[in-house]
Amino acid sequence: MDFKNLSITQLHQAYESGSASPVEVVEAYLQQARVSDLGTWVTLCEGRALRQAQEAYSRLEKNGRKIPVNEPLFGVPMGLKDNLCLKGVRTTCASKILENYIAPYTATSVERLEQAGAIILGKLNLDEFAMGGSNENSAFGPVKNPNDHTRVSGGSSGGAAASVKAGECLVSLGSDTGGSVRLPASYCGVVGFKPTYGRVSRSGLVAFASSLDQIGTFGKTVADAARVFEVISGPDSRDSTSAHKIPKADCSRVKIDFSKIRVGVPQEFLNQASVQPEVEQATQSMLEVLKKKGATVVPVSIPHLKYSISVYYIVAMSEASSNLSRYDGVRYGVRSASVDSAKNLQDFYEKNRRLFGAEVKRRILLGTFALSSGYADEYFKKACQVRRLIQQDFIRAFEKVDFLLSPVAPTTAFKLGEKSEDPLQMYLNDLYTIPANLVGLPALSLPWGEDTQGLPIGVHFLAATGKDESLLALASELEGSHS
Amino acid sequence: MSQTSLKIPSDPKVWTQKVAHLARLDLTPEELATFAPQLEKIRNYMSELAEVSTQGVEPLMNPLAEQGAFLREDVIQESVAPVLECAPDVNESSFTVPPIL
Repeated sequence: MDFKNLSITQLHQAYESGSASPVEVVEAYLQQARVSDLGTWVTLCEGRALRQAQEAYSRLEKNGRKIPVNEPLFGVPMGLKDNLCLKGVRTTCASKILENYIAPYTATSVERLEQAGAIILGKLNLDEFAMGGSNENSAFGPVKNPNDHTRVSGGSSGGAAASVKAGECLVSLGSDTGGSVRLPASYCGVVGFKPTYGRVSRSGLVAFASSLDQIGTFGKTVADAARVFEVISGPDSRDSTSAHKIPKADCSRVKIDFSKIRVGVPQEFLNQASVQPEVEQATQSMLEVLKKKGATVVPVSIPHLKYSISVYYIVAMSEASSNLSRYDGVRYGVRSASVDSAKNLQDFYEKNRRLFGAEVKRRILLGTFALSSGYADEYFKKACQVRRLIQQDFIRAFEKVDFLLSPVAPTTAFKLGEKSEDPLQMYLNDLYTIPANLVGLPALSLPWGEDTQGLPIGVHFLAATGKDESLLALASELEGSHS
Repeated sequence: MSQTSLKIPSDPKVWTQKVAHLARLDLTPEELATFAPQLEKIRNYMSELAEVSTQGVEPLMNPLAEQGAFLREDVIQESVAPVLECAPDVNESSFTVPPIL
């Protein structure tokens, strides 16, 4: 049986009919992961995963070969972006500075996955500390696009996106701070979903930018990405930024009536010179499909949209400079300087922090600058004020529309090495995805055709705060409608 | 141009080096030569925010700021993780570091 193209529902049917067992499914996926030449995995947890598969098999048999009702992810082989902690397993964040770090606890979202029956195959490659848009910034090598090995997978959750496309795991968890789930989803041709800020606990997700980070889900179908989101969602006492007023997700509640749906493309996103023609066409074709199904297309404006990139990078780099100050070789991670070889504490810190890669160092430097005395008002405070204006623009827009639409990225996947020389060029690639993180909105990348070279194109949807279930329901209705 | 931005040294290498010291990053001469113009270009791009009118606008620090932090009861619970387990070098219940003074 070919397990690679099964959905979660089909996998469960196979388990119940006896045409597949958890052990053979996990072994098949592990074999795909072992022989992969995409650079997708940092660590495989083979022994652990096979033990979990054996235990799953026992539970299945004891339950009369019925999937236990409290295990919606029973026997589902999954990967975790390697900035998510799994107790007893290396968590590197694709950085030399955490190359030896064994997580002493498990992230809340991962605990919830395992309680729901998921089987963790291993840890997936990423841009170092989630900083990047191409997965070329990993200390352990780039991730290649499964559709074309000379091209990038997108980042920073490159491994999480590519592994699902390549059949190395069925679903995966990534993280999204400025587009890091949605962009690789678009480049690789899978569904990538970023929840409303706070709906998934960040406890156990190694922090990059605390007011922007959110764990996201990847699947071949919207239903699979949605099911994983339901399992991991909900308030968590271990995360003080958890959205405790928004309940655990339940995607069964929402039905879409297209005749009542209003959608819009922010006019500030129209007529961008840098957009590849096929990407522009994909957005237009999605609008046509929406209209055919009965939705109303409404003009909408986000006046401060053009400042999103500057706001994002100032805020993200500032928060990152603070979050990454903990990596000093004292309490965990690699201590490359011994206590005796350092002249003093300053020297000790500097020697240990040499292990960061170039992009991480750049962002720490800019963030430190933006927060420093004499500049914090002009840069950080100013960025936070403009962030408020952008938020207000979106609140007004969502009075006129239910969903916003745009490309995910200006182009399809570019060649490895093509954008490495100019960091600013890479940052400008995030223009469509960044606003969702600034305002904390749910957002999704839905595969929508290919360009003339066969490279996947994703279309980007945004909904208002807390409207994750509606967004997923909409995407589910549209899935497969591309002609 | 605002008052504070006039204080940035015109040589990007100078302000990059100062910031590196604050961030406890020890840059090699090659890194300094590569990073300084890149950072200057990015900083110039971000200076576009100066044209936005933000008089009286409250900074937005977190999308859920209005709900307030989610705080649990102040009751002693088991430690989530054994704190010393990951340390490169410990002395009984302390982490070792070089002299601070």
